[in-house]
Amino acid sequence: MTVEDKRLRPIFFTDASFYPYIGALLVILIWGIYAYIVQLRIGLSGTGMNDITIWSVYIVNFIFFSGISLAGIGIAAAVRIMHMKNYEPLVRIAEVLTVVSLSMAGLSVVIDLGRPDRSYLLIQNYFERIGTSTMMWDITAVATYLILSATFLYVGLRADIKECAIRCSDWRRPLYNTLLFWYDEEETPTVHRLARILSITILPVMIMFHTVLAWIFGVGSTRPLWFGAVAGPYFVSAAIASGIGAIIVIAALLRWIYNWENILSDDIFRGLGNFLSVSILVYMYFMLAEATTSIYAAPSGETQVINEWLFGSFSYIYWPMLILGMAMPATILIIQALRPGYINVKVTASLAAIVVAAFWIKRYIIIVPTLSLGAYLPYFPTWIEVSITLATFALFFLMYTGFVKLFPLFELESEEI
Amino acid sequence: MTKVGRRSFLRFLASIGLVALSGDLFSEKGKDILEIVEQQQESTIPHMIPYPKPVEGADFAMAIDVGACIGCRRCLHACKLENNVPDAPSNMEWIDLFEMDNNDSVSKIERIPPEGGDPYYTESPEKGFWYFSFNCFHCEDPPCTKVCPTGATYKDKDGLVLVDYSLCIGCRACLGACPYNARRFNWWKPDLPKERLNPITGEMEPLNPLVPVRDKGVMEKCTFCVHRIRAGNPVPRCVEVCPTRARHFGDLNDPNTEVYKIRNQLITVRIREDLGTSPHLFYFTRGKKWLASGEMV
Repeated sequence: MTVEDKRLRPIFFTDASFYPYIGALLVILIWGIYAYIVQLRIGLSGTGMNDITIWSVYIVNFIFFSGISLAGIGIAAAVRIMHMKNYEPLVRIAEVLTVVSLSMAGLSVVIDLGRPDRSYLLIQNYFERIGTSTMMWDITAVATYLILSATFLYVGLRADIKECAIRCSDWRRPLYNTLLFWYDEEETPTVHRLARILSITILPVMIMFHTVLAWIFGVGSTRPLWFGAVAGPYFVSAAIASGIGAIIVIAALLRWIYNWENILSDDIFRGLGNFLSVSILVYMYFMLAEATTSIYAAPSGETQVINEWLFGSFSYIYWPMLILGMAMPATILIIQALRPGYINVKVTASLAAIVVAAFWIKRYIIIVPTLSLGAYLPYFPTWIEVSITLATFALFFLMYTGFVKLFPLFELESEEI
Repeated sequence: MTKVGRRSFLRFLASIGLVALSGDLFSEKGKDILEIVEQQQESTIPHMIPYPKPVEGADFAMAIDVGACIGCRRCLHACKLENNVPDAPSNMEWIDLFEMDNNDSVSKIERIPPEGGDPYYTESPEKGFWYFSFNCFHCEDPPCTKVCPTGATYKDKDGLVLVDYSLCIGCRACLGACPYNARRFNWWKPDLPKERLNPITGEMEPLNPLVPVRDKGVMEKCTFCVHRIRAGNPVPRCVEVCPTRARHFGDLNDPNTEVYKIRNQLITVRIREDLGTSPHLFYFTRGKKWLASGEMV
């Protein structure tokens, strides 16, 4: 294995187009930081929220990033537990997606706080409040999940960092050596065992994390279309669908940029596409169940909100989200699954991107209409909210790119490709 | 002895500057001189004044005679002046008043703001309408205190649901949990001049030195005038100013109070009793509706 190894290409070679890409992301990020400073100075009045629309795009971002974090670790754990050799190249791509998007989820919550300078009170009053505070359950879940998935990523990475440290002589070497503290060649079997234990641990944590996330909304007994027992499974299925979609998009982008056609094969994308179509169908089934009970004979609040979704001011995003963003991709993916000859990674990836965007809109439709009930003014995001949201996405891509440029995305101990 | 290089010293200075800058975001130091002058003209009332000790064995509650209420908004304005509730940059009110259609009743109100209720009415009382006012319900089993992640909002021993303004992190979970939308969030930094105009009497009134001025980014709400009732004053300000005696206040554990008698002698209604929150704000009427001309229906 040499520096010329295709799998190490991002670390040792940099294209000219890389710099404008990073530059653009940095510009968006710095603009977002400026917007956040403005928000700190003038308070949350800089957002479109008010005493009735109490949460908005920051919480939408929080659910969205939590959602796409699910499938990452899910795939990684499933591959480790069930020894799915075909999908092994996906493992680390998925793990990094989880860690990075979870960080963004945590960040979104802090951005949403009115007094982020007092966040330490969350730790100070932890044991007193964990009993009943849904917000605290969430913080616990995010922290547990982040620590577990970062550990999962890191222990598997150590052997490959060693390989990089050998080949590297520039500024990155001290970084690699720091990360390799107490590294021992003989730790690999232990690491494999640890990864297996973590995979088994992380699956229930993953399901519970998204259920707890749903309970912020699901236990609010007076919020129409939030309250209900189905909230937990509903959120888990949304997280699976949007997470698989995000993995397809990221993997396809990496494959296209670094010419990894023979590592990330068409077969992987076919499998992921099939799974994505099924998970969208499951989600649409939940949507049907929800819509039927809320339209038929629900309390007046539920009927009003569902009417806003289907026929009111939110129908302009609801129907495109449902038909173009879910039904259409699911149909095409099912056709691809039934006729393997039609498979085309570019089509699968663009459909997945549409699905991911549709799930962001779906989360917006979950949060905002319920909180618009009785509002005197319709909610609309301000430039601060839009800038900070874009900056969160820019930071997501920056962190992912940073990882890709520093660490190998595939396990190097397997034979050279 | 270690030698401090120029470079590392500069770096040290820069880090101090960064820390100072980040501190400025929340303190008043980072503002320009004009704003500081403006600030000095504003109140000197601190952001945190501890509440008086709870009254032993009390269970405070309020009862509102919806038939007697003429919608004059005196309670609302008196409350704002009593509790240093800001008019600017946004108009915040702890008491909300709605003009309701004669065909609707209190028990029909499923959520607040009530469907069809008009908070912007100009003249009152008007024929064919009645007036619904509400403030924090001080529930017996409040959903807001359950969800609070820092314990900033809590149920006190004498039945009051209070907010500790120094603990609130502004996550607004309590606002999401409150079935009655009775809480108010400081989206803006409140702008409170030393004296404010009372729109009812037309006089300038100073800020109340007993009530803390809230900072931006924290939650606040009706306290049943905790600084009055715990200091021996029998009733909150809104009850005191009501010209038709529509508002009644007292201790539910004391058989001599008005609220106790109303609760035990009249039929009272509470909003959304099905939620099991047991609000301490009772609605009742002695059977008549007030009208503009003074005649009764």
